[in-house]
Amino acid sequence: MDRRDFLKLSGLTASTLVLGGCEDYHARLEAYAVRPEDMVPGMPTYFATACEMCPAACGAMARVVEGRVLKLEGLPGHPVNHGGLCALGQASVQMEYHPDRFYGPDIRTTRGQPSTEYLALERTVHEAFASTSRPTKLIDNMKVGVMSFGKPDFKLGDRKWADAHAQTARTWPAAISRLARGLTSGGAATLILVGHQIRGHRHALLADLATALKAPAPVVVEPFGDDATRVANAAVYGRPELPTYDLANSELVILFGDDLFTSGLAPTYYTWGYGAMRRARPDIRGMLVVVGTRFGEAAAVADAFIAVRPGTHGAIAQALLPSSSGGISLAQAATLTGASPDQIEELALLYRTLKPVLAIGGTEVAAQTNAVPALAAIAALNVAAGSVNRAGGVLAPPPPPIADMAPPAPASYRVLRQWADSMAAGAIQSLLLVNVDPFLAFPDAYDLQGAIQKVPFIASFSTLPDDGTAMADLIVPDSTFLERWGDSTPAVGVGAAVGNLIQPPVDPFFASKPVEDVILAAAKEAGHDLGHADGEAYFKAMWAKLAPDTSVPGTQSPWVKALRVGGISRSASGPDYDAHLPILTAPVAPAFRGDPATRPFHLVPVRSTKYRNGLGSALPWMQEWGDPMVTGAWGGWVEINPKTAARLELNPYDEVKVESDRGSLLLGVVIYPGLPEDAVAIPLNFSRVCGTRYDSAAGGSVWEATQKVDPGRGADVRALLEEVIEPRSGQLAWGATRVSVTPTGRQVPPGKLVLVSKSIQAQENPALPHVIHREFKVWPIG
Amino acid sequence: MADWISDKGLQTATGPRAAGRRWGLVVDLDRCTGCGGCVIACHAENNLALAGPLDTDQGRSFDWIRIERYWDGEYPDLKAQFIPIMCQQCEAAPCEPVCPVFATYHTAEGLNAMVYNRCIGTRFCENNDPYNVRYFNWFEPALNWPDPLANQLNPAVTVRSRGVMEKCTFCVQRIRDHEELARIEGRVMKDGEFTTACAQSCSAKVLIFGDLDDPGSEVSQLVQSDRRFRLFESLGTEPVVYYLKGGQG
Ligand code: SF4
Ligand code: SF4
Ligand code: SF4
Repeated sequence: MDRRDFLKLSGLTASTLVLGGCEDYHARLEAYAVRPEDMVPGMPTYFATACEMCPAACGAMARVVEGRVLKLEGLPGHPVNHGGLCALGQASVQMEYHPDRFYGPDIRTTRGQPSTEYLALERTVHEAFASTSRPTKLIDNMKVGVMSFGKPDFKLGDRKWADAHAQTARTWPAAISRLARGLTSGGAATLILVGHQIRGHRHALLADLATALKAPAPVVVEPFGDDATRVANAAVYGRPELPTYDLANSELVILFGDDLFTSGLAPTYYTWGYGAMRRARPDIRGMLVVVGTRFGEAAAVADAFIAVRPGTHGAIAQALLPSSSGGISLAQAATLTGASPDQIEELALLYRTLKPVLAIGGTEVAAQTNAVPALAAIAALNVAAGSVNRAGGVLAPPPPPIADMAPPAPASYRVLRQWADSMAAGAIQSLLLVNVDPFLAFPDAYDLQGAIQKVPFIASFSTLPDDGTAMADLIVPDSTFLERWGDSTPAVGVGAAVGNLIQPPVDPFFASKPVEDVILAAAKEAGHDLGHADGEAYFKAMWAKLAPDTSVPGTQSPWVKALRVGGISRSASGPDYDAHLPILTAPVAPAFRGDPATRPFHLVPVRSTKYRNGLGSALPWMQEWGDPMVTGAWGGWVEINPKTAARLELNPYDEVKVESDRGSLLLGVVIYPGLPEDAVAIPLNFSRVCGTRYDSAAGGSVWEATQKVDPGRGADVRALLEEVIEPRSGQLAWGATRVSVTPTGRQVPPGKLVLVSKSIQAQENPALPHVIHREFKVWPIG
Repeated sequence: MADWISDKGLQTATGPRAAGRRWGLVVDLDRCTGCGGCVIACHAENNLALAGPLDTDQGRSFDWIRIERYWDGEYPDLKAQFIPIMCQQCEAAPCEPVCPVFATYHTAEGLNAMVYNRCIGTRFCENNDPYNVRYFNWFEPALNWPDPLANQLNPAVTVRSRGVMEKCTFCVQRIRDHEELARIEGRVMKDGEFTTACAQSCSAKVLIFGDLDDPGSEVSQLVQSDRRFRLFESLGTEPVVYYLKGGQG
């Protein structure tokens, strides 16, 4: 039996038994007497692969027991995550068994309405669940007293389950034909929008499709573009890519804008680097100083926090630079930023004495209208300190092991908006939403729905329901990364050349199909043979480009080796940066929309540890987990400084109307000590209108929509944002909006503001945490 | 849980020391970024149920390990500190002697164990637990694992149902797995050959698990640090979770 057969068999419990009359159904009977290779009942099998939940590209091991994937672990020694995995990666298994996952393709006749066939299918699946189906059986078998599974019990429910699977499998050829017609009608006017999971050779395949159609290259959509960082890097380091920040070997890290370790582009890598910077060297404990407006996770672990007014971070950087390159005086910086001159002076002293020093600009800086000059000033600190091309500083990332695997750069908001305008003007005939919800990258101020509505044919490849998918004519759901092939490279430098190979530890749980299988088949039907039979053949061909290592006789092919260890990596750094100290102008003041008289507060949208780039909000564990600073769970809230709250006579759980010139939201109040009096913060929780039951107002599958309306979801900060574009990079300045806060006189309805721990709300309460707190106060913090 | 009979009578306040192993956990607070990887890893490993928004609001959600944060000062002169808190597996555990049915007891290797199907839900243990790490299960499991989410459940760990107390077990199923593996291979368990789910997921290497009675183990070395302290040392509960304080020094 080859491995592929094993995979099919091991998927048995995730699919089901073949019963009479379902010839086209791909699962099969497992004879009890013949044990599939690698499968010992009750014993886990581990498959080396990589996490695809965010652009970081962590190496992972999938734990599979009897055909079900149960858990993801970090791949020991992987250059990105060094054996760890973040919260979102740990929650990824909930994508696999998500209750609102698309069961299979849906060819819709009315836009926004599931087809009658799909609704019938949904009903069958739910009946299968509701009868003596396996999931309920699983729990019965595992409840108190029974320590392991019995044999899966194939009864009535499974017959229904098998029927549903077979029925869905039969709709695929029609769905592929529909897509092929969409590609033909779209032709050169086809727009392919892709999310972060379309990278490596998946991205290359879609680029091939675009070339075949003579259409524009795929456009990468990320809710938080990094264009400003790239423009600043190009100006200072000579190249736009996102470098390796070598935290582990640094003595002083100055972080401007706060979110690197918990919600940045590679949280595991930076968290690993932070741990190593603090305690991996016997005689050196690296220091961390955070310069920011909102006191968040990184500030909590910093040795010092320097508070600055929104958008003035760059002035602190300029105060540390020599005047010959545009440095300003400490007093000037203090006036511009509101920071205390003593603190800036102390930082200047640290900056001069500790080596190597590493300065990093975060998303709080990138969110402003002056992002590029501010980020350039921050990058200049590395040049002035001699930290470029040096351990403990900024290193050039090496090229990926296979040339066309390079991580694609996300499009700037300006570019996305141009495409949206083209859609609105009727210039796009077919739109492919490939694992992406474009609504996450647009403020509600732009009528994206109106623009997309103009496109005659829309196909979505999303695994879970989202707002983009709700507008599709055709849904061809992608398999999860635990069910398909793929490859990836990290979005940021990690001090090594890394190519992950993603392999499918299990068969698709529902009747989904990998994007590449669908694209290859549909393109062929549309007359564009892209030259590969299916996804597996395609990835094998791509990895065959790697030369086998002939230095050791009998070495396995790169493909086989990568399957075993999860990919390839070699420690390397790229060709050195040709960095130069820029001559900076006087600090550029940030611009804000909204009259300070009527909109007295700066709105600080917080990139959340829980919801991350949007995938987190669909997963129940990520919703329920209390975020590290506020312990907020399930949806959103507004954070208000204690003095401001007292002035407005606001108490925790009060409901307020937060309003900008663009829109308003009703939110529950969290009294948060980590903000200035003239700012309020709202986490980006990426609520959707038509998402899953966990992240949307009316969410979930249509089947259950009536049961799931929850008042907590559906309120997203995108409703408030002004559409302001950073002029030098085209990035959306999502920190440039001013708002007002008006109490409604009510408390939020139950379940709308959910705090796991109430302690932050009641510091005077002599409950246990504060007893611990008193004990902790003797710590020499910082 | 098979060893509860042999351990009967050993659940004294000072705890037994018979198995030649004493599991402990070191938490280096100077490395923790509060990222929460450990929290969700524990959920995934140990079948922690979902509570949903309304019950979470009522304080009924589960976090066998949680990240607490302590604030000091006022903006902008503000400090905060993260601390991951899980069951401290106290050697003189105040939660154990109050259980009327011996559902919670101390094992020979120093674990504060729960026998779920003995638990009658009096919650006396929760009341007596100074660390607030015991969680009462209010839910019927099937309701909280909407189909087909239950497929992710770990077969090595009991799914608790309504009416029982639950808490961090130091991932006892992993301990048992590796004991068995070592036995089959005819060797002694090596330090670091396995770890708990929370420690495994922590990229920053905050959490280190091992045998405190093995002088060569990493935990034994780390607890020598003069940064070490234990929570509520003054209560005399003798936790085996050792924290290494953050900051300089
Ligand atoms: S950082 Fe990204 S790739 Fe790594 S485990 Fe987390 S979600 Fe997955
Ligand atoms: S995973 Fe590690 S760094 Fe993250 S919160 Fe847990 S202990 Fe802290
Ligand atoms: S040791 Fe295991 S049970 Fe305890 S908190 Fe960590 S993961 Fe959870």
